[in-house]
Amino acid sequence: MYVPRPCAEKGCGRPALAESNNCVVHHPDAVAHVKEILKAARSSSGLRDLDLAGITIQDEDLSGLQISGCRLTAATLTRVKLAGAFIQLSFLDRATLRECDVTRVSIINAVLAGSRVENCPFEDSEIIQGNFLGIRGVAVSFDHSDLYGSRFIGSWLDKVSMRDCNLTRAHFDSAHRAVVDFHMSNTNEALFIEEEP
Amino acid sequence: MKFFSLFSGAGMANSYLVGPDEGGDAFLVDPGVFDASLLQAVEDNRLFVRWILVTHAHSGHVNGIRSLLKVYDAAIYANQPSILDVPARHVEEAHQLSLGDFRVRVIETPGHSIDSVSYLLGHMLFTGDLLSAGSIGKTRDGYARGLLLATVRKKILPLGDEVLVFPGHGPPSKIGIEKLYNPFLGEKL
Repeated sequence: MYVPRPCAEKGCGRPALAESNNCVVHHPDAVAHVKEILKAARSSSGLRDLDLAGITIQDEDLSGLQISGCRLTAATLTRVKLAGAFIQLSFLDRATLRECDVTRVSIINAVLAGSRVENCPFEDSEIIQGNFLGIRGVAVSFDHSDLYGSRFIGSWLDKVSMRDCNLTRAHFDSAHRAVVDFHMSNTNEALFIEEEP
Repeated sequence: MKFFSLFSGAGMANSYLVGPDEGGDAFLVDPGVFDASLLQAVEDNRLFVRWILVTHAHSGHVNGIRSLLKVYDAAIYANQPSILDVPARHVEEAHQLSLGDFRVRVIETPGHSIDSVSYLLGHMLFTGDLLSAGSIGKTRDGYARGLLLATVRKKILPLGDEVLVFPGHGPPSKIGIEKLYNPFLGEKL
């Protein structure tokens, strides 16, 4: 698991980026630094136990990458390919994901709470115990995915497709569902009211 | 630090395994079951379960202990004198446990059960059935519910928004996330 360290800049309360003493704001070249980390990750086993809070990633191919024990809180991912990635025990809360390919992904015990997710397909994925509390999802497809134990409590879902999904123990309490398609999914196994575990 | 979250289908509960990067003595939080996946996580990472931390003595969180003790010589820490008739080392509020190089703080968090405790390791909080993503633990009556909510507000929320929550059931979370989205935390006492 990542270990948080404060940015070395005096008076800055932000977390320092992995392999740096500075946060994303005070790093002299955060974009190049992140690119180096991603390049190393692609040629190794992936991203493990790294603090990458607040980073911006655009037009990168991270397909099949393993992401474990990382913090990507408040990160912005635009047109990032994450197809087939394995994301475990990682924190992408308050992140923004736009037009990212998240198909065939394994998301196990990961946190996307408070994130904004737009035009991202999560199709054919295994999403076990995902924390989606308070997400704002627009034009997102989870079709043919296993969403076992995932929680969408307090989320705002618009044009979200969950066709042919396993919704066993999925929680949708207090979720605002504008247009959500559950066709062929086992909604009877999901929880739609405030209920304790 | 090596860290694993393991899921028991039997009690639908999470167990957590924490050990040093280089392998060696590790601790396990709430072994609800002792199965092949847990054994593999321990052995593949050259770990040895030396300590068992129990958040509360409900079966879904402790049923793996007897089997586990047949393989590993582990000490049990709990807010009970014994777990499944196995003597436990008593923990209570503000105890600091030295588990190898790990320092773990005990926080008494009654409500779901009278013996409920949480364990704080750095920025990682193991809450058992006190608090989970968007929810709280079941309680016996209104008094216990009030006690649980008061405990969360007084002892847990002040730990900081970026403290990670690893609950007994469901996905992980953060205290800051729970403050924003947990519908139960807004309840009046």
